[in-house]
Amino acid sequence: MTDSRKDFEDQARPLARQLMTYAMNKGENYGITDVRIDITASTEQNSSIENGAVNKNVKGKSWGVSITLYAGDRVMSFHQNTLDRNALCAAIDQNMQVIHLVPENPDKRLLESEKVYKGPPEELDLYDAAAPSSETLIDYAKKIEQAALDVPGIMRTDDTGVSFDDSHRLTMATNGLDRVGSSTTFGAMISVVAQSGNRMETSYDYGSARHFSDMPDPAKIGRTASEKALSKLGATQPQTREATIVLSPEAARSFFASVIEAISGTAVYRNSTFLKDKLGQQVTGNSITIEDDPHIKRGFASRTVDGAGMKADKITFIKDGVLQAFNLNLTAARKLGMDPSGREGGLTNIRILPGNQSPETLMADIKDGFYIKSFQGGGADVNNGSFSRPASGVEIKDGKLTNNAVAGFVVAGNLKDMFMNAVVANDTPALPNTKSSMAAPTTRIDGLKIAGL
Amino acid sequence: MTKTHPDLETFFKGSDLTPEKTAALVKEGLEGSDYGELYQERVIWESLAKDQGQYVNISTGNSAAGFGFRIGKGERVGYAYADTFNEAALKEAIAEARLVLDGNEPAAKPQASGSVKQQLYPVSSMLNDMTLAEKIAAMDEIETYVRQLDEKIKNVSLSFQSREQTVHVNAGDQSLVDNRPMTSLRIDVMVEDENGKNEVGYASIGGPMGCKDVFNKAAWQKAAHKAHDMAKTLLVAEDAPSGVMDVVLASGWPAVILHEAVGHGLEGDFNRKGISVYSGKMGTQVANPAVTIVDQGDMPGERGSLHFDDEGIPTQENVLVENGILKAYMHDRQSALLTGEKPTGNGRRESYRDLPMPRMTNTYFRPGNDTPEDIIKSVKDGIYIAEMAGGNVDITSGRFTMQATLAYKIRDGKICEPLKGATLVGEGHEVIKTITKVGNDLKLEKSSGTCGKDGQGVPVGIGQPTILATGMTVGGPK
Repeated sequence: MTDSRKDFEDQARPLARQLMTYAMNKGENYGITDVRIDITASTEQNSSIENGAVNKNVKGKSWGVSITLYAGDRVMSFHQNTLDRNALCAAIDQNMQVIHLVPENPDKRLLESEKVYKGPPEELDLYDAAAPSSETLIDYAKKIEQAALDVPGIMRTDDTGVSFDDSHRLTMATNGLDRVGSSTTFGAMISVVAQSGNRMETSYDYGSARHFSDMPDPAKIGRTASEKALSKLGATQPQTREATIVLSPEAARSFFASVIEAISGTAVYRNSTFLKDKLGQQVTGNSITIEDDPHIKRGFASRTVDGAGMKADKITFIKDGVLQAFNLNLTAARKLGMDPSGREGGLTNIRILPGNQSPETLMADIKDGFYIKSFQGGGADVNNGSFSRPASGVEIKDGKLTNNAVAGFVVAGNLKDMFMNAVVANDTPALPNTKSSMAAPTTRIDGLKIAGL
Repeated sequence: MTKTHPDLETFFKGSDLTPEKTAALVKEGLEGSDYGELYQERVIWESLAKDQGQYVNISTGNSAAGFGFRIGKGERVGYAYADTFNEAALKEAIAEARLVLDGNEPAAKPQASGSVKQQLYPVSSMLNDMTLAEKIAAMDEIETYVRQLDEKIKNVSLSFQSREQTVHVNAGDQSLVDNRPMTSLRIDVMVEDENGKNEVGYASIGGPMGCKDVFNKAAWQKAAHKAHDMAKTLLVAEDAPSGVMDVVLASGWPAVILHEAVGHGLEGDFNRKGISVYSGKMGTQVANPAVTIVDQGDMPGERGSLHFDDEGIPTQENVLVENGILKAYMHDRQSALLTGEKPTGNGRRESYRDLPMPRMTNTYFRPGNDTPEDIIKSVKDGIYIAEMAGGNVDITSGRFTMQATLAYKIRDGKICEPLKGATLVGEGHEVIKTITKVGNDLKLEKSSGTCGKDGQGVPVGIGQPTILATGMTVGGPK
């Protein structure tokens, strides 16, 4: 595989300039005041392994061009996956001819020119120019599969796959925004089925990285998937009762996603979060500090500027349980009369900082509780606080994790109380890691309802 | 739908390939395969969204086009796609896809095919049956109408999308072309009480239809009232209780439980691997005798209907479970080949970037004899699920979860106070044994419903009459 960064820029930059010039020149007759062009390109390769041989190979390449036209406060946008300049200009023409029909919305204007970051990019190291051959990737997948099947009790694999993506984006706009960025992503996953008598249970594991050299030991991925599936065999449905739960770092990510949702500026101006009036107040347990860092080297969500072109810097949203800032995109900031957060398009690498206690200490006084390994869908409403999510995990007895697997039950409560009652342990994983752009520690929450038998 | 479909030429505009030359290359490219095809796709779409009295999105003139070439031999599949369609790109894709073969393949066998019997939805373009000015005027009219319903309405969100997918499938024998429209309008209504507490109700209109059908005044007025009533009811709803109880599921959309809890487990790919909870159960009693489950892709005007699937197989009625007995799985070409069955018209994919898989089309419970009123009357203590959000399933253990947005307590056969925040969990293969009553009021939902599998989303229809499941686990915050 080769470094495609230069090829991309050589094709995309002249096209973006031509489209921008075309739209601005021709647009004079239609009142066009600004234009934004986004050009993306990606190649994808993924393969699956079954019994040591390749059983699926997919290879593909795609382009995408998005164009947004501004006639004062009238905004229209469209997307096409062609590089055909004539086709794109024809679509610009069609849009310009009807833009006068679009009602004005001042909140949709481009970022003010003086707020556009024009400095050098951060050193983020998101592109692996020495990407391995497809043989190396397939060999990696074979090692995952072998390790999984070596664990006794595994009936078969469902799927073992490995993937490589190479993507580029160029953004140019009349407010001075002019950025190009490239990244690579490697991924590998396996799902396996464990069997005992007439019961089958499935589980999976995965790893992902910007650079192939950061990928985890493939044998560990395979073994972990098999061990997870085996541990679910014999899972029982618990009795309905009140209990304390302890969330694994994986389940905790999913819980803290509700906190992130509740501090979204969009939810604030739409009056659909119970944290809308809580700036500067205690909103979670005081062991909780949440920060978002866009500059983590090789991070999945790292970036120099946000989607609008504003510099993205580290933000602490919650400190010791006190809400420091909402996550404000451009529209939300304008509606609320506040400064945007530099997070147009979403938060980046989110970290719930470690607390003071070890996970063992955190659960030491729990007589009868549940360690939640993962949630399976369900609902968490940050407007009315209603929380009811199906879960699976193991029982906690006398302060310790047991081997009694539990599944098929619902954890229910009110998010307002859950935020306040949450206490975190000191085991936040480092970023970047091979699982997620979000890192959360083991988290304890008291006073929940467990709905089972 | 035929070789002479007027849209066939749109796939060759600006390309150095002709349909004839393409067919020859595909035929040659499929040599030594068991199955495979050229799949070409062009999607055009537009969207309008209004929130808090302002247009937050107006996007027209969008398009995405491309092709994929697939070749399959037993379990092995090679696939390559690109967005530019010309001779060099097709030849490169064929060469890439063929890498999965080992060179010892015998001559290709002819693939199964069939003919389309009737037109199920409009196949001429309907995206532009209204102008942008007319659509904006219609959205404004709806918002004004909704806001005057009730002074407690604090926000109205409208989201409109119209999409048209044109596909060309050539599996080496014939060129099939279809045009698939899909349009929807969703109305969200926020109602606030005197204490500043608010709730949002919603309703959708849509299906394989044009813009005029969706902006039909009688249809959107009905949807607007439904969304408003739902928001008002949620405002006074209590937290749902927890525990095991009898559950009555309303007709229509709550059939999402059928889709998740049973449907996915009957897809052929899982069963050829023996990893579904229904594997190896063909011909046995898997459900209560009251239960008959059908997946049918050839229903006129329904959301999951297709003239032929994404492998070129005409859709059909597949009775999956009949009077409780497991009768059939849903297959694509690969799973049919590997299990010695015939393809069932269930090979679907999200786009030209994706491989087809066995997927549902329109899945429903056949109606029984009970009236909905009698079913509710038969429950002493339970809940009635009126509106469902969505759910998911683990097809290996059969465990599923479903999230209800609006439910009601049933006491002594009567519907009582509204409830919110109820989540249903269970094992699909156990739950269908406990469905003891099936109503006579079958209703299919076509305005919304997107099924996700392996990251691919496709539109599906789901439906059911009112049903009673005895003894399900319900989790609520109370």
